[in-house]
Amino acid sequence: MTMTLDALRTEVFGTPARKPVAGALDAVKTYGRGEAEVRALDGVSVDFYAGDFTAIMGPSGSGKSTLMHVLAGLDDLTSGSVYVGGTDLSTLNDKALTKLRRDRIGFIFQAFNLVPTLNVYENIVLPMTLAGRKADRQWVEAVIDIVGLDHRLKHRPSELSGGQQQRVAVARALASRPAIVFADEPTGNLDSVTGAEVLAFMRQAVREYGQTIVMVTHDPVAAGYADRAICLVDGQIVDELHDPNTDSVIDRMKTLGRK
Amino acid sequence: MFKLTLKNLWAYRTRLALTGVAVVLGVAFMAGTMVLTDTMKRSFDAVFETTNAGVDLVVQRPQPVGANGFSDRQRVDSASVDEVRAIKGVDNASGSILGMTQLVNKDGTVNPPGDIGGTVGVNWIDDERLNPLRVESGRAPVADNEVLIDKATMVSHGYQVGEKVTLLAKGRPVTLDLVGVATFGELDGPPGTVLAAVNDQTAQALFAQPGQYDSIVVAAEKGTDIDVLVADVENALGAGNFEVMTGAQDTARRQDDLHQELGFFNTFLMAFAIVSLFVGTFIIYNTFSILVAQRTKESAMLRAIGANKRQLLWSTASESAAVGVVAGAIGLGLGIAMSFGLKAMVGAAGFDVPDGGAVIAARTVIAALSVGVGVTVISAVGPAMRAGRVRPMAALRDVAIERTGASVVRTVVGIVMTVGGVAAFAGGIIATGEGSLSLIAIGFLVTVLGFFVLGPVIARPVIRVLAMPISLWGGTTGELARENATRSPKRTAATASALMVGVALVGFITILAASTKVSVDEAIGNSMRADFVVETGARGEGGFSPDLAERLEALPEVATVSSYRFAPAEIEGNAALLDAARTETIGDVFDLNVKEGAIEDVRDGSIAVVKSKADKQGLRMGDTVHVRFAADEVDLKIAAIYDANFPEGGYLVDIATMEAHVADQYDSKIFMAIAGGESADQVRPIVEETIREYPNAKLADKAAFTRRITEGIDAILNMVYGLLTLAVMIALIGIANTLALSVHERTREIGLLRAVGMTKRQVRLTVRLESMLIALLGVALGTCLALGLAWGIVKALEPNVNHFVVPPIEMLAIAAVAAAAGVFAGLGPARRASKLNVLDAIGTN
Ligand SMILES: Nc1ncnc2c1ncn2[C@@H]1O[C@H](COP(=O)(O)OP(=O)(O)OP(=O)(O)O)[C@@H](O)[C@H]1O
Ligand SMILES: [Mg+2]
Repeated sequence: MTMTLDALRTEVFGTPARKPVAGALDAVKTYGRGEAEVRALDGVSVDFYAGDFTAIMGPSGSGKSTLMHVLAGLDDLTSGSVYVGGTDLSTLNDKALTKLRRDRIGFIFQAFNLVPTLNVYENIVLPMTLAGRKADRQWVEAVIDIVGLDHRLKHRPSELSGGQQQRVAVARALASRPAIVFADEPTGNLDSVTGAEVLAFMRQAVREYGQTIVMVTHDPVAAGYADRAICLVDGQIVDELHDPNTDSVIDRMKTLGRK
Repeated sequence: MFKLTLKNLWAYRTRLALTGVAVVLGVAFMAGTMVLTDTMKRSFDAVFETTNAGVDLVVQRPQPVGANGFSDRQRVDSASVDEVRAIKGVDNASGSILGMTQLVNKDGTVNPPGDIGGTVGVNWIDDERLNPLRVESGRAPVADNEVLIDKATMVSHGYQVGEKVTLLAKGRPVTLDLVGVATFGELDGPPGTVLAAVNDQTAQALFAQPGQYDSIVVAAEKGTDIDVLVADVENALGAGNFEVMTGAQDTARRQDDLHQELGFFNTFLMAFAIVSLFVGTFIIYNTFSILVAQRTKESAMLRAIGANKRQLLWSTASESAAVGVVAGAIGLGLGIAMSFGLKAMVGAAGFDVPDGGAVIAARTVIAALSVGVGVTVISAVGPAMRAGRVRPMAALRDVAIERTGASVVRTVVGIVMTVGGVAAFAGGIIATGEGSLSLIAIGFLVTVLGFFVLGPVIARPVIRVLAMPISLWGGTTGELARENATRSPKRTAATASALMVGVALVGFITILAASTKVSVDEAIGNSMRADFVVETGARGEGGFSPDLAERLEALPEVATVSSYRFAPAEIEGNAALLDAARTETIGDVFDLNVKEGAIEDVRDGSIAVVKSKADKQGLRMGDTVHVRFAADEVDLKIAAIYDANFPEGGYLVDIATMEAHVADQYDSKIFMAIAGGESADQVRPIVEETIREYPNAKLADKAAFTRRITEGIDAILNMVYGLLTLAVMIALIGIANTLALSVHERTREIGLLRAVGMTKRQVRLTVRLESMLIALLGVALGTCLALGLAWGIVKALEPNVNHFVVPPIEMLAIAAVAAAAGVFAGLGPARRASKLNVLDAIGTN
């Protein structure tokens, strides 16, 4: 049931009723027991649509990372369900989840995204080589072109700046044409200019190639790049903004802060 | 700071425990050896003390000759015994015989000869002061055909008074009536030894010569000044002809002689203990290096908040000392247990060791603890100093992949050390005198250290080559494994070095053994003309009475018989074993490859010399060779120069010459050629029938004769393999330890790989392949060393070993076993890596 990005795009622009690529239904995740119980996710229901760039916002400890982790099959739920591309993740074992991550999901973490022993190119095609698949050369070259790393392909991560490293991470997340890319504070460690570059690439991938991206961020400026912003507080979705911009996000955050 | 040390010890307890095991095993081996030799020493010391307990004086002939554990001393006449007995102050004197014999077991097998672990034949002395034996049941031997044995033998061999006992005396079986059983001092019998006592006349006939004793034992009158008595006896017998010692002196000398023999044994085992400890140092060095590197940030932080260099250095050093103390103590305990295992192992190779409670000397305890601490602390000094040198700034810097290792200085130092080591090794082989062995050892050590220094330089390229097939087959996992193995060349090289030492030694002796076997095969193949050889099947002394050769010669089916024997002698001032053969016929059965003269011309008053010895000592045809026997000395003229590996002594005389100068005659091998027209298959049963009476005689054809020699080589080989297993095990612990630390260090990376889709299986495979690559690096380096060292030794052993043979199957097997062991060592770390929780590992928040 692989769906090419082109097909997704047709679907996105061709049909008015958009189809969700991934999502959660009544997702509950608790840590600890009794007095010490923490409800990191407290009944979250959300869908992420194909070709959408979604930002997840919220105060520290509100459950943003937890939500991403359960959506990506890195962690399991206490109750409720999450799905990616029509598959309920709770039905998959570790091996199947690993394959799902490898073939259908892209990742960008805040830092330490790259394998230090592999060079830039090897890092970009890593999920495909792990699967024993040949990379789609044209697509990979296009991705490399977008992130502007063509002259750095033979370099090791330790020889790159933080911004360059994050660009490699973006390229890797896109290279295997995943159904969805999860990014957890991808610009958290970058200065504003470099961060803006990385965000621009992400948005380009969404606009031009119909890539679906879900990004956790604290930064209202970063949220401004997204098509939709979701606000989490204490493990619950409290608000949603469409076509957010920096100012609207800041406004909304202020209101949330007052609550 | 002390608190920090304790915390670190606790935090890294599993790693340090594994490291400790490397020390524990080495220390255990050492302590085990010490306990074993001390135990043996005490058992044998007690034997000599018991023997001489009531003896005030021992009188014997001076200047025995001896070499390689064989010795010969002129005997004393019965008349001398009477003479001594008559001296004032002597209460009683008795001739004493302590001769070689062999017990023929009830199943027809023969006990080994020799006085340790063998059978000793003595004369029964009626005076309790002069006889350590006490009759326990039955009675002392009186008649000529009576024998008494020690109680321990009676129990272990299942004899009963009234039964017959067969002894092999002078190479001839003799059956005697068992009339009594005796205890030996406090013991049931001398440890590991069979004792057979007969009356004087029988003892002379069976274990000595008629009318002669080995020595005279004296009990002094009460109140006699022993020192004065020594002088009196010396004067009475004539100075120079006799050696008079007090009982205590005789005991001390025998103990000294034995300690020297045990010293060899001790050194042999100690060498393996040292190898194990040496391998252990690599492991400790490596573990502490990695720990220090992993703690760089923490150390830098401590420096930043005010800890000084010395405090950091001391923290690491005391951590290692603590590991050393614990490891030393455990090693000591294990060593005591191990001494029993060593005993069994040495016993399996043919060296019987008597039983007895383990002797744990204070020296052993001190040595175990100080070696444990010493080795650990010394190995950790480098890493500790590095910990001290951490600068506060390092706290802020991320630890990048280590790219260092291939510096020019390192390359040059490494090459200089390797070349110097090889030179010392070669020098030690060429030199023959004292210290040549230590030169060989130092050469080996320096070569290994040279390789160790060079390791980080060559690790990367060598692993790239080794990894080629792996990355072809293993894909990304293979590539990742290769990259991981080369990311820290120092660490990889140090880990592999430990295995390298083991592989080098195993490979070295394997090549040496194969080369020797091929050379022996060829030498015997080329020179053996006999159809049959009668052998004893035992190493060392003993053999057949000369009348066996006569009986064989009398067989019409046998055309030629030439017997071979040897005796200790002093040749040109050197202790040696002099060979003797029937020179008249030896050429018909064995080609000595005579270069000058003729072997038949070696008769009374002449000698043949092996070419290598003649060349070395500048001896030519017609020159005289001075030979001193136990009883007399002669000058023999060189009548032939030959070039053969057998006989091994290098000097050969005719049997007649030997008989003229040596009291006891045994044939140790009898070569035979069958008469023309006879077939070997037909003659064999006839010969077998003739030798049946001689229970120690074994018939061999050419193939069996060769096999027997090579079997001896194999037995030693197996023992050395067994002893080296420990070093290899320690090396494997090192690999496991390094990998565990590396996996720990790469937690985030592994988490990342898992997040982007690496399966658990792939994670496991990556670690296992890395482990295998490290092992293969050790194999590659070790094999190079083995080839070089073995080649050097073989060259040095020429012409005795004149083929350099690298057995391909064995060498491949060593490589395969080491690689498999490498994978095995990686199993634990691989499993741990695959079980890492992805979220914990990435620790994204
Ligand atoms: N492994 C865990 N064990 C216990 N509690 C946890 C665990 N992981 C997360 N939590 C708790 O769950 C809640 C949500 O955590 P989460 O990491 O999702 O927050 P976040 O929104 O990503 O915060 P931040 O913006 O700081 O990254 C927090 O209260 C956190 O303390
Ligand atoms: Mg978070």
